Amino acid sequence: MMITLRFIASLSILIGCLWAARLLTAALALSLPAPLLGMLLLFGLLQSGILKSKYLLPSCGPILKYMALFFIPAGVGLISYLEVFSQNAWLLVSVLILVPVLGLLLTGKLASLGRYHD
Amino acid sequence: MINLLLGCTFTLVLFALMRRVNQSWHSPLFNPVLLCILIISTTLLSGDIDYIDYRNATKPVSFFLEVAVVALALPLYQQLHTIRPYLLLISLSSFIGITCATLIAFCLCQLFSAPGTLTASLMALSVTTPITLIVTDSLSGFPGIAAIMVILIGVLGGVFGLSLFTLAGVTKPQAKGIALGVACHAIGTAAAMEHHPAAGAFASAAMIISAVITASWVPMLFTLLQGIIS
Repeated sequence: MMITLRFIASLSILIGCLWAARLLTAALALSLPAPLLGMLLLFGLLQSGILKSKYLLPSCGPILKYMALFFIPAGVGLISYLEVFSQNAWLLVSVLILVPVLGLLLTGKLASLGRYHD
Repeated sequence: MINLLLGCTFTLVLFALMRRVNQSWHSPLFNPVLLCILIISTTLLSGDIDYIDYRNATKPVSFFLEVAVVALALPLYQQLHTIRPYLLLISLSSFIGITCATLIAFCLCQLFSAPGTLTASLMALSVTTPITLIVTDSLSGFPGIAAIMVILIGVLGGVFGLSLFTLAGVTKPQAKGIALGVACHAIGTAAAMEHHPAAGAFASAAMIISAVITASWVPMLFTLLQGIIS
């Protein structure tokens, strides 16, 4: 019972931040996506000490752990574009190979410039 | 109402099952999301069910995508003290990595003379899926294509990323983590976590910073590139 209540309370904080961000982006006509602004709002609340991280754990833990679940419906959207896929197969395959390979190499090499102490 | 219950339960149960499959055959190729998408897609196609119906039936699942982005604030906050000295380096690497990914995709699209909507769907691929979907939507691309490409890029990075680093002589776990977080989002981050704890911490921070940079920078870059070619 207590666990359920804690989950609901901490989920309400997340949804509250999301809604506050939606209101803000709409009111100020910001181009920043509302969920991202919500994330920054929540980060600000944590950083300033207004919110303690233990209040968020009950919902953030499972939500982040199973985040992959939430984009299944969008991914299934591929069935509406099967024609686009078959018509542009070579382009998509080249993007699929070049984007991660070059991205990983460039970022990896750049980040190697840092001096890290373990 | 029945549709909602059916759509959500089916997706949830299938996801739980595929996670089991992934745990028994431990390979990023058996990515639970990838398996679920393939299975649901074939089910819808063979049952002649419209995608719109499925999408409407799973609205609650998709809503949590936005909630999950907000929830990313917690790991960022928890890791801030580890990564604070490297914040500038991570941001810079992430900025350059994202710009490079968008440029490559844009050039390939020009090379293959792809239609504009398709080009718009391939601009924000190295970042975590919720952000890709939001950015793709704002550029009026196809979210379905963007989502599947992002997941495949993550899977490829998770499978081959570490061998690529060995080939290229990237040895520091922190650098590997940053690269995986920037280029291969959550799936790369998971691979980095398995590889080394420091790599994991840097990967998840890099992924979140990349999300912020992508959402604010990629739409501008896209407009800029379109201006150049027209």
